[in-house]
Amino acid sequence: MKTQLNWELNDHLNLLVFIFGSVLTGITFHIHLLEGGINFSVNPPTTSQIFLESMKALGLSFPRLAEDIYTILVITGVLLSSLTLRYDKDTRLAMSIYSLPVKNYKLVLAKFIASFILLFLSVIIPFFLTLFYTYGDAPNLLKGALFGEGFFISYFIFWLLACVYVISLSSLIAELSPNLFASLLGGITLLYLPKILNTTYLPPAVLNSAFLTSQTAFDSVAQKVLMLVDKAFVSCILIPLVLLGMTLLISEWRDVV
Amino acid sequence: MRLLKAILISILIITVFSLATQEKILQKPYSQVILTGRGFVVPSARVILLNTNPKGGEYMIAIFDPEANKTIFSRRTDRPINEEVTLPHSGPYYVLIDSELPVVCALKGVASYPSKEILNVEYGMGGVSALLLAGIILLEGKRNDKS
Repeated sequence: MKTQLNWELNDHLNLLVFIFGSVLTGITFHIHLLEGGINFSVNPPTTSQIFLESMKALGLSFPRLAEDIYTILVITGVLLSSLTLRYDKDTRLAMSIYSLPVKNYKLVLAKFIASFILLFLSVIIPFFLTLFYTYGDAPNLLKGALFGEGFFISYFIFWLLACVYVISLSSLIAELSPNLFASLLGGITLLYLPKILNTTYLPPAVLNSAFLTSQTAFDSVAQKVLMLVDKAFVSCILIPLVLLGMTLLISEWRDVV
Repeated sequence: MRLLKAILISILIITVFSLATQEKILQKPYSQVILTGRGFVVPSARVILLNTNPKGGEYMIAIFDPEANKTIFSRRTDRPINEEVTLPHSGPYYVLIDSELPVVCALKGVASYPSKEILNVEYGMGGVSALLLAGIILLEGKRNDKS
């Protein structure tokens, strides 16, 4: 399983998609950061209070799952899971992989983890890189916002949950679909549907609102993170786990064609 | 190893594109109206034109920079102010207005530019990732020669 993970992480096509995704997200994050900028009020206007509120405002002005960022995330995620789970079956390479003396579900789990790691890296590296490229000349405030106010861990979990949702849904589609094209089309359609229908209980809407409410409701970092996880629990932890279970089950039932 | 190379390549490309796009995006106009004390976050260093329109009476206006923990502009007067203020870095600032009668304060962006520190960060990051990438490729080439 470890060897399989190593193969998938160092596969040429996967890494090409990784570069594609991370460059696009990086540029989009930078554009969002440079066009952003918000107002905030301080009450009472003492120096320490201004310092605290400005760190909060700085943290809240970082980009979240806006429309274009979600689109790039979806395309990258669907491409990655389709390439790892479906493309090798199309090219008949899967014949030699799945005939190894390893259980099928372990191979699929390794592929799932590999595509998840790649997608997560392609979001989290550009995110923090562009933060430094935009607010790097205010190091005290940036450090205070990221670590003192707990925005580092909050954004980390935010993007983790988004990636878990995207990868789990698209891997199930990839496992079910008859060929690469169907897997790409089905994955992108299903992931983009909540955005078109304005569904509030599925990402991206639920994650964005969960993040904002968790940041404004509490003061302590642990409570913020717990509330973020709690608000997005059903759509970003429970549903992905069910989908992953189904993917693993289907991989055992279905013949490798 | 190939993953590390891919990460370095994407950091390099993002840096190059960031340098190109930030010049273009920062040319967009910027304006802001402040009625009472209010903070605002700017995404780059900029020069702004501060304009006030008092209804009469003496008033005080100050811009506070939380990063350096100092006031970068402060004036107590009873006449309109029309002055250029330099915001030296990106990030939050706080405008304090102390007046009996309402004062309308307008901030208009004159020029936005990435500050020297930002450019240092960008060039440094890009340079380091390029050097690391070159080092890895050179090492791999040497190892391949030997075997």
